[in-house]
Amino acid sequence: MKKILKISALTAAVTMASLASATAETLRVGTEGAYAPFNYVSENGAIEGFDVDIGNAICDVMKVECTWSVHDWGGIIPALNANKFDFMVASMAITPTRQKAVNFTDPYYFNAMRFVKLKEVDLDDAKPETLKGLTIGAQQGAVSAKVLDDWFPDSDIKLFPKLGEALMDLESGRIDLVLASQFAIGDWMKNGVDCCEFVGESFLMDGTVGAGIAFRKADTDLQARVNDALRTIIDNGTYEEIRKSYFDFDVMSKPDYVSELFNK
Amino acid sequence: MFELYFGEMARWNDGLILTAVMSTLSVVIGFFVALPIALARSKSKGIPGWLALGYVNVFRGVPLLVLMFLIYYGSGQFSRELRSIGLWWFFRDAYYCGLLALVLNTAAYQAEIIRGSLDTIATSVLETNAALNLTRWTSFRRVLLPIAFAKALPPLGNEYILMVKATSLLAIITVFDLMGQARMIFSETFDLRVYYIAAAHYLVLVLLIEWVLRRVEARIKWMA
Repeated sequence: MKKILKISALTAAVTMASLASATAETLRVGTEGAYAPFNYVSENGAIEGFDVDIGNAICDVMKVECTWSVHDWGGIIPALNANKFDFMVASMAITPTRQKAVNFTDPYYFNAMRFVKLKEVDLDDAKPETLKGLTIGAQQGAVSAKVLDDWFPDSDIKLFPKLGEALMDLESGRIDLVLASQFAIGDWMKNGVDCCEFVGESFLMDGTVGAGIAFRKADTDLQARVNDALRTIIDNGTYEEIRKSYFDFDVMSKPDYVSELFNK
Repeated sequence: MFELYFGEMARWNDGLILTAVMSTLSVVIGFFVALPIALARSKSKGIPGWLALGYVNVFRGVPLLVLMFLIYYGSGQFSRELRSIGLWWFFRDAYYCGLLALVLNTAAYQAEIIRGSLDTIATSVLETNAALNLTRWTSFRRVLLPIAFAKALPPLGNEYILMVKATSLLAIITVFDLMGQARMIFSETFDLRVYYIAAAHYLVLVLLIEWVLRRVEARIKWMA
């Protein structure tokens, strides 16, 4: 009799516990953690950045608890699909190929790319003709790598696992230019780097419509909830506040496409 | 599966050639680096012996990944100094940096393999050499080394196969071997079957190496 009582007490406790956790829903958010100022791991080990602030603002609107984790860029989509986390806020550009593997929200900003060059490399413009024979670095799996592949066949292209490594090689003079997000490069140059400068216009890869938050194909409910929350923070000014603390210019207007820039 | 292979054939071939060339070069160069180290480990009780032991301990102790990162990105931090002493042309190139890391690593392992086989040669062989009035150098070059090589061949072949797989680390320093190419194709297609194709390439390469090694071993078995 005692035993039965014990067991039923235990079952009740377990049921209570699971009910309690159901009321405070926890979602796991994934990001790269190596893409300052959008997402990076700070000196004290915290995951911070524009993406993280936007993600947390969305979680606040949805009234859920969010926990963050960092993942390798090259395997971040498989990690999402393998259920390592529930959704991804990682400045990922929305492309048709990626849309075959995951679903995206509406874009939450336009991440235009731009060339940065060594000061001693003499260039006024960055076009396929002017960059002929030069060595250009980019991050493996990033949209800039695809643009280089499609539009700069006469340049020598080197791909790096992380953006920071490409920038390190630019600073040491192994490569002449890097093509990457202008924001990420700008952030790097702010930290006392005097080797390099921007060259040419900033642009977007054709077919990309800005950076989106990514979900597993099956999670359409969650996608809709997050999309609503994103719209809410844009409408109520939270988005604008976060944007101002990172960038002193608009990040929601669309730059030119590559083809518009180079097909002239 | 077939379209993942035939559609990207140029990349797979690039990767395969790079893996084969880098692993073969590093094992061959590493062998010649390892010889004096093995000799010092086996025969010298003085400073050369200690230096050789130090080399083996350091380069077997440091993971290849760390070594590659240190040589490539580490040398980038000293590009100005390296330029002024005229060594930058070497460290500027990711292929040379990668090869250097592979050679330093495999030489440490090969030195231990060769030392082991040198130590197993019976003292009667040394006595015969002395009786024939061979100089120490001739005795080493014409008798001890061939015997040691024949004895060491199976473990050296093992090391070769390990190096084939170790080259996959080169992708972190922008040198795209088989694995690097596979990852690149994967990042564009998100199709996990890419890795089956990569695995098949490695398997074929390793089987080929095994086949060659078996034939060489059969020829020189009598020496061991």
